Amino acid sequence: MNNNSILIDRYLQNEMGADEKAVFENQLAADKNLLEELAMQQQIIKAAETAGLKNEFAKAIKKRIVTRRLIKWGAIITIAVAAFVFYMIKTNLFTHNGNSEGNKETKSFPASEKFDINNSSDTIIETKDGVVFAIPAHAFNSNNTIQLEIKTALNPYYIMQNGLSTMSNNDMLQTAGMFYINGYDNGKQVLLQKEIAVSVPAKNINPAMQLFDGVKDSTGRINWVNPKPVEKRLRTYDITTLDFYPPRYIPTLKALQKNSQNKKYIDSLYYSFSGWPFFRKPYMEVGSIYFPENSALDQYQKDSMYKEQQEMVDKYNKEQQSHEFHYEINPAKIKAIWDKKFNNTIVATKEFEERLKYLHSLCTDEYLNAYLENLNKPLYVIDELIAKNSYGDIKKKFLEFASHKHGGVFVADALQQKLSNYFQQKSKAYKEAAEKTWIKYQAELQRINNIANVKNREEALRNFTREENNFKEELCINLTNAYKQIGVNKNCNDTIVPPADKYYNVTITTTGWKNLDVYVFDATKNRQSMEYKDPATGKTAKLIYKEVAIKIENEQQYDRVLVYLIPDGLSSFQLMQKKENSFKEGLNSLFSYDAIVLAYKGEQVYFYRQTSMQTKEYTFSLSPANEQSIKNILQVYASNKVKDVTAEFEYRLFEQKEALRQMQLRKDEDFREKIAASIFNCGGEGESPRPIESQTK
Amino acid sequence: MTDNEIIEHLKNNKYGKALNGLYNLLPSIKKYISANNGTADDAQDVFQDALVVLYKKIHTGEFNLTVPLKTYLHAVVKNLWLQELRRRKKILITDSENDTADFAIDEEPVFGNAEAAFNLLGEKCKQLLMLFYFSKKSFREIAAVLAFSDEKIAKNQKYRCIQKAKENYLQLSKTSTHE
Repeated sequence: MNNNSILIDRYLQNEMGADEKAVFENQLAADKNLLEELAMQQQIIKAAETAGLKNEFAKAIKKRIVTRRLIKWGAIITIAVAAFVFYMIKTNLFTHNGNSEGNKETKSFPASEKFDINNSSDTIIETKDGVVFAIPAHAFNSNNTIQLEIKTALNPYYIMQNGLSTMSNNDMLQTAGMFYINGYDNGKQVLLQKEIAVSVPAKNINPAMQLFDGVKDSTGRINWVNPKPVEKRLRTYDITTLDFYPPRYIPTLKALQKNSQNKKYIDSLYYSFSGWPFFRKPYMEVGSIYFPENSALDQYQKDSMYKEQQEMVDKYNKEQQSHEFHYEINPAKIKAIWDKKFNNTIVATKEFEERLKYLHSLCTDEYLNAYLENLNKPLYVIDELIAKNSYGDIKKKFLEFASHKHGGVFVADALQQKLSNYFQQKSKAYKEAAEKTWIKYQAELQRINNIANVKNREEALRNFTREENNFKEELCINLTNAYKQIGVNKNCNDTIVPPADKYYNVTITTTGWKNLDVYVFDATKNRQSMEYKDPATGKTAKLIYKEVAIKIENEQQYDRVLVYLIPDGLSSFQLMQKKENSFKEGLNSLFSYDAIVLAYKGEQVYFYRQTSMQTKEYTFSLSPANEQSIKNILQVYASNKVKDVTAEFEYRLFEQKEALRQMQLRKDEDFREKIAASIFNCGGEGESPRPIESQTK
Repeated sequence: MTDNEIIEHLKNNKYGKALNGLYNLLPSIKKYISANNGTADDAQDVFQDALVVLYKKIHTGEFNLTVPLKTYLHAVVKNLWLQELRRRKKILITDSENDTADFAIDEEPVFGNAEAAFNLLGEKCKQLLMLFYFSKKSFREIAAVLAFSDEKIAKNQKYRCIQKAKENYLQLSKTSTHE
């Protein structure tokens, strides 16, 4: 039946060619159902005609009811749509002779509505059709009460049936309605000297609609000319209720489970990126390095540290330069405009909010600046301006924005200038403040890092010295003891301790002893037992190293566990090495050892002390202890040991704090990186767009 | 205005002019309709229908006025209202006069299923079909008035509206045969 409707209609409308018609008529003759359908369709068409006719009478009757006199039309202004429209009244463009009644061009228009308005105050009037006119004070050139005559024709069928032309220079217009307005002072027409804002109700807004002026042509028909785009006046909101954050910022905060409700927090976090290092020049400087007063470092070491740091800073700065983010919208700019001062400007509109979301994704703030520098222009004009000066997808997007014909918010030029200045100053101030804070923060970090670096080096030096001294002392004791075993009385000071790499080059003056020295040296170095039979005396020298193993209960719960051996015969301590899952070391049978365990977890220290170690397997269970009580316990040892152990302990305490600080720093940095990624889009990777000005050239 | 002048206006499609001579009928029609289970709107509606009947008669050339135009229209109104009341199943006319007997009026309903089917259409379809078949507007004009993006869409829409009206018609025929 679907196709039949078209065929039948073409047949009834006489649109068929002779051949087609013949074929169709044959079909009709053969197909009873088709014939019935044809009859039905004819009836429907008749019904449409009847309805049209009835409509004519209805109109005529209605017109009689509504008005008994014909209306003289002075001028008609049509708008092809409905929204907020400015227009100027044109007078005497279109006058109809009231006697030409037979001409249905004009006679069926609705009655005019009359309003008396006070010209010295703002007036808002609404017609029966719902068209709203906002008439500012002194809109008309008169000091008296103005009689306003308004006519509206919004129903398309009405417009058409009344023969109101919708032609514009031979092109057909689609109309959303027409209205007419004129003002009189005691019957005398008055001039309009201000703009009247008109709102015409519409079901759907077609952005392509334009406002035309009606001009009567020589044949008496109205020609619609001088089209002007109909812009949508924008509604402003309290700016603090709008969302100017980069679109991915809040979702990222939520994903990181940060409090995205606390406006103060999210604001300050966002604005803190105004001083994000990418904006900063110079990026980093080598600070003065802090050395503790009694630093063990010599000048050469200090110099090399400084040099090393200089290299590090240079490298950092070089890296940062390749990551310049300054094309992006600086949060300081957002902070400057997200201010009540910008209420009642285009900035405080949903439409700007929508654009800003897109602007955030662009690698430049030039586009944002374009809006801020033109607060007194309609949004779509700025959209067009930007579209003209951009290309590709960006151009497309701004053309799309422009097509919505979003209008403006009235801003006086003086205010525009003021706001512009305010914006410039504020964004600069915020940016500088944030940069200062950032620099200060970085300097402080640098200072702390320097301290840590120095302490690290000093610890390394201490360890080296201590191990060297320990070895010397232990070798000396082992040698003395070994010689004693083979019946030689020998003080270790008599022996030149052979530095390993030089040893084989030493001229041998006496046999035997040197051999023993080598055995003892190796045994001491490897902490392994040795047995030496002196070829001269036949006596045997023995050194015994037996392994002790220490396990720490729940070792994995501590951030760090350090096990120290404190031999009675040496002036310092030894750090035990961890092998597999326990701390192991060969104990020299010549010494008696204590073991001290210091473990760190967060800021808490755990302690265990075992005196007179046996060569066996221990499992220690640590207890929390405070710094001072540990230091007190350590006092039982000889003074130089106390000094070394305390220095070690203090260093480890510092190291632990430093580790915590670094951890927090990494966490902070990681967090800020993630946030930065949600705020800035371009990284150093993307193509930097050309600023608007350079594009226009 | 004489009856002939009125008829002449109607022949020339000058509805407004014709109505100037007929408008004073409305109060008495209102009175009659409201006395017979109708409203003021019904009265206006029936009056319009009566004018349509008159117009069609005139334009088919079968019209020979044997009584005053007002009497004729009154008779048509009564007839139409009777049909309407039958449709509404409230046949109760309190009318002592019998002036309808003086001349013949078609008993065939002027407004049948096709009209009902048409009236069931959406406003836009009605306007489109009226503009096309009654006002003889081009698709271009129709597209502009009814905000279709082009003529082709207006044309396709017209077929759709006809289709819909036919479906309404079939539906209505079905229900009336079931009665």
